[in-house]
Amino acid sequence: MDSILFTQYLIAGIVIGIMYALMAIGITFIYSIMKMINWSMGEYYMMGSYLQYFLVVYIFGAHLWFLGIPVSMAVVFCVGMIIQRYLLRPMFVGEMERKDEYATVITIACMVFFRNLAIFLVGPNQFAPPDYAAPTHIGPLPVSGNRFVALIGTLVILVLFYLIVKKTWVGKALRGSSQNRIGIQTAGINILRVDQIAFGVGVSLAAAAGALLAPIFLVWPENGAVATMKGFEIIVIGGLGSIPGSLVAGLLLGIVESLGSVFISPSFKDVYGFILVLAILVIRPTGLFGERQRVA
Amino acid sequence: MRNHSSKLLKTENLTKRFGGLTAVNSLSISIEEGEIRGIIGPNGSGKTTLMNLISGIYKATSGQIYLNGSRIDHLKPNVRTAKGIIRTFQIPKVFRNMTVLENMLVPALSDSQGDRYKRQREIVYEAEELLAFVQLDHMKAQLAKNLSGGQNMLLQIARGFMVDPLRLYLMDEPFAGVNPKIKSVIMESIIQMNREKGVTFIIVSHEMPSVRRLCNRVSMIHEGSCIAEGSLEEVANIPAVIEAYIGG
Repeated sequence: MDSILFTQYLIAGIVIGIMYALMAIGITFIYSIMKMINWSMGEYYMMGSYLQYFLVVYIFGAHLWFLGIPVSMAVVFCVGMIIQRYLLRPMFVGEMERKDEYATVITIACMVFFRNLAIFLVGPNQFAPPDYAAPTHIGPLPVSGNRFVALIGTLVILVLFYLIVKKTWVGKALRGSSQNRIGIQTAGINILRVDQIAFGVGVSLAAAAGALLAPIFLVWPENGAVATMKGFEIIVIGGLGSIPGSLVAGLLLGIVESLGSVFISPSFKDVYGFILVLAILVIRPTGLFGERQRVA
Repeated sequence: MRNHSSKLLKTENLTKRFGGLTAVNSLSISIEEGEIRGIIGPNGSGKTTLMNLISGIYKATSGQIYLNGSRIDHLKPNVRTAKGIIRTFQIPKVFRNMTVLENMLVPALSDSQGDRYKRQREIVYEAEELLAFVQLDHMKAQLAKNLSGGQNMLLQIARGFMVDPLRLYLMDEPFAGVNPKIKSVIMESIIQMNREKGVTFIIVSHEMPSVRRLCNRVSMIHEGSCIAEGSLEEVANIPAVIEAYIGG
């Protein structure tokens, strides 16, 4: 295989890896603050993809597809805040003992509900929004226009996310909450409101992934399932609770899948990711950037 | 209805049970405004549980807590902080992956602290002044996880001073495991805040020399109840107190 073809597949892996990472960062962000796994992240990805499809096809048109992304994110952010407020907040009010089980039951119930609601409302068929951009090149390498703009969109969202978390007052509250829930409360911060914002932000990142990837992976009620699986693989590889870990692991997963498809077989694309997960669990069970947690 | 008493904090028959274990048992205690009260007692006597009840970390099984005559036992921890109750922990609850200065700025995020965007420079200035007060100003750009245990205790204490108004400061074993220099800085900061700003302190400690130096009065807690109150010398000579420490 020549170097150009190898580079092309490497870049394809990086492009898809960064987009998987967006999903994983949403899962990890929610976990880092609320200390719970949201098993229904794929359904917020699905919501984002449906919203983007309807906005592009019926309101904005193909030329203004990019306007659909922030609108989809904002709508799903609000949905997430409502779900958190009425279904998940009871975990943190009062003295519930089995929080993990409660979160698992509720979020899996949401997953089933939203999936079936989508089938009920719009049917089981697949939709394809119009292409975001024509095929292009990165240097001498041809790249799908949809993947290229999805990559740019993902990078923009990640930079905005970084700036909000690192540089704003809200970001300080979010970071503090992820590092010490009791400390942030006794410093005067309303942790219940922080949880609500964090959940909204996390699911809006999944919606962004769904909206950006809609023309690539299409729009249908179960399109979030694969993205969720990839997201959780990335979290195991990168380390639960580590956002840099999610980014690096996303890149790694994308590259492994892409190069595995080229050098071995494309039929086992999903298997390469699982092999990587198993290898990480054996070599470094806490993940590449994970830390052993000590709760004091 | 407001009770016009001079007491800053009052608990009435405060009880906390964890299943079959009664950690705090009908405990009634009053703290005057401006006082530095020591809370002493053997391990497992309920001192930390009492701190957790007053600060809102735990919800009481029964009983009431009053701050300046108003009942607060139904309020969440952040609301009690807004009313001026600050709490430090034996193992400092700092934000390890944030810098020392960022840790100090966290209380300004509370809704009760006013418009943080307008007051940003003022808040940062105040944080830096407090860091200088506790001799941590040279560490302001360091991540909290790079500080020693004693320095993190200082940071935790200084962060509490950022809250305004600060009425009641609950300190749980502030001297545990810290070196003499840091202990001295902690003691001086307590004395100065009490004298200059009128902050009331409740200090849980096993360190009798520090308790003797700082505290006007001490309350002895044993098996969840307050069994003695007075100066340290008075309390230390009570037979029930001696028996509680040494055992029957």
